Amino acid sequence: MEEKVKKIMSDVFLVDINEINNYTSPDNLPQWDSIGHLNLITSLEEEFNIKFNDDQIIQMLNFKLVIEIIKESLHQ
Amino acid sequence: MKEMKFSELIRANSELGKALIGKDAVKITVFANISVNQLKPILEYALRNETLNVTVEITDYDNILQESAGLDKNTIPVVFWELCNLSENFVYEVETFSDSSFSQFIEKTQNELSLLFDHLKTSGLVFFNRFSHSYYTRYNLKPGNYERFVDSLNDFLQKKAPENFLLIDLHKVFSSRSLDICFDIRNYYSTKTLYTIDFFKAYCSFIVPAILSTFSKTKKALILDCDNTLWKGIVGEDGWENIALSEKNKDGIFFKQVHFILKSLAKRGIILGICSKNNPQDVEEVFRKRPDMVLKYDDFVIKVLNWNDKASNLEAISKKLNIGIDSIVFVDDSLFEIKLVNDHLPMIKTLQVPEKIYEYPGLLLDHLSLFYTNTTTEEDLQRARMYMEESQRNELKSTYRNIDDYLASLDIEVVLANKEPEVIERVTQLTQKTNQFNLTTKRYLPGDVQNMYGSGDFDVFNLTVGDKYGSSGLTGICIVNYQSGYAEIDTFLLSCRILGRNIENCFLREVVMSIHKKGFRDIHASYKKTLKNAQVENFYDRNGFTLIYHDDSERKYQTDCQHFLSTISPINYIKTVWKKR
Repeated sequence: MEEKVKKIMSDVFLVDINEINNYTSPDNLPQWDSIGHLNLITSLEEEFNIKFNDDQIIQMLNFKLVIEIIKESLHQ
Repeated sequence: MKEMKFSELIRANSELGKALIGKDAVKITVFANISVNQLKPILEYALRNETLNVTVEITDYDNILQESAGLDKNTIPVVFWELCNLSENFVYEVETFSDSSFSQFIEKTQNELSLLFDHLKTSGLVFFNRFSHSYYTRYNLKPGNYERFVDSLNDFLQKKAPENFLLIDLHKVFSSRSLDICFDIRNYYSTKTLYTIDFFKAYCSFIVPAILSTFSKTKKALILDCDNTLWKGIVGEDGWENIALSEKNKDGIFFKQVHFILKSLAKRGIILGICSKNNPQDVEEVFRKRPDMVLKYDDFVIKVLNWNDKASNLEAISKKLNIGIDSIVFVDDSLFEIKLVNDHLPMIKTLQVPEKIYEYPGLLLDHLSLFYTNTTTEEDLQRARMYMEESQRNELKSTYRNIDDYLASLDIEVVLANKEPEVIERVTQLTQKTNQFNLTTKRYLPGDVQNMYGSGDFDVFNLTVGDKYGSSGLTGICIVNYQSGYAEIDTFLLSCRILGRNIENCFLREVVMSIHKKGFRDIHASYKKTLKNAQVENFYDRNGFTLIYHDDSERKYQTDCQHFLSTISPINYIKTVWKKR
């Protein structure tokens, strides 16, 4: 799953997949702005066939957290 | 685009954008009072994929009037003005309005719309979405205030919008998917997003033809195959009286509906053409002798009836009509022909006649936007006539192309057998039915075939063709009659649906090898002319046989097995397998 998420992030933010690591976040990736965040959410929901709730959307503030929240959603 | 994941689309759009760097870009500016940022990559991709280089700019959220003032008139504006967001809770609040506040809001919005009309009236083409209330009112039996509000402003749009405004009926977009797929109001109050990716994709498919048309990038010509495309049946085999193209024959009605669609396209100036592997006389006969046919021969501006591959013919058609190869749409029932054209001329849009024939008219209706034009000018209407005159002046020059690479990619396999008991009926039927690729056109009855099976003087070879897309079934027969000192090819025939793949040459070579193995050296063969089999007149000449006699009705040949096998090389991309008995 981590690889899938990395691929999606690299596509959505138009960066090389190797640039994505656990600490990739809006603070160190300029493309991860509010529009980028919306695109990321949409793409993840499409890929994993899940719907995030408001709180989850706000909490996804770096790669590691994104993975945790997807796992949480998949378990619900 | 519909099946593409959003993240893949963002990436693909970026790649297309890089490829188009340096080319002049068309600018599209989106004005919206909701958040529509996801429209940008989707609309860019949809247009760049049609080789139109565009940049889409999404202007500041909910600032339509200020942003549209002084807009560069060379850009194309797209406006999302959502009445549900006129104020924070408008959809709900409006139901509590008094008549006077209702009227006040109408008037205020009309004034704002008038201002926008004024800002955008000099643009070439403006996309403005008609207002819709359906997401909020779909279960309302009686119109409430919101519905009346929306309807009233739609009336205003209809009456007052400048001529350059193309009013987009969002209900058509919604109904192509569904309201629930198009809307996602989860984040409406937090981020002001209303629409889903699926909606934006459907919306773009809907408006793209109008943008392409502005840049003359819509399709201009519709070229069709004949058999099982303009009518049901094979005219060369079934005869003009038995093909179905009107209510007179079963399933003909669907072809008649197709003809009406084609006729209406021709009326709008779309060029109709025929590209078919057929004898010209057979096709002309259909038009001449079937008064129940809606289309007339002259409705088709160009007719290419020969046995060349269709990619070459379509290329020749584009040259002859002097239109871009990318402005052609091609319709055929055969997956082989469709794939061949897709492979060689990917810029041609192809449509395959559906197997469920009642879906055929609908398929064409769904693709009419390929031929979209913003206006139909007098010149458009004259165009078909102009092309017709032009094409009468020039003689069609065929351009042959090397299609071997394509054929090699198909993994063609030919399975051969001799005197297979299970197929006597099919063998008989093929000798009865096959008219076009049939060298001697000898008709046999099951008893005749049975006798040959039992006789040592005959071989009855049959052939089945398959490729990676499937099998064509038993589609070729060769009967060899062994005389003292030589072998006579009594019958050699192939169903026309497998032609164009060099199967005939491969089949002949296998037959010659088999004769050779039997210890025979000399082969006799002949061509007997009929009204239908002109295409094989020179078949044996092409295969190096020596012509020893000919008159108006017959050509007789001889060859020597060893000479044949050493001069005619095998078709290396066709795999041949002999069934063991």
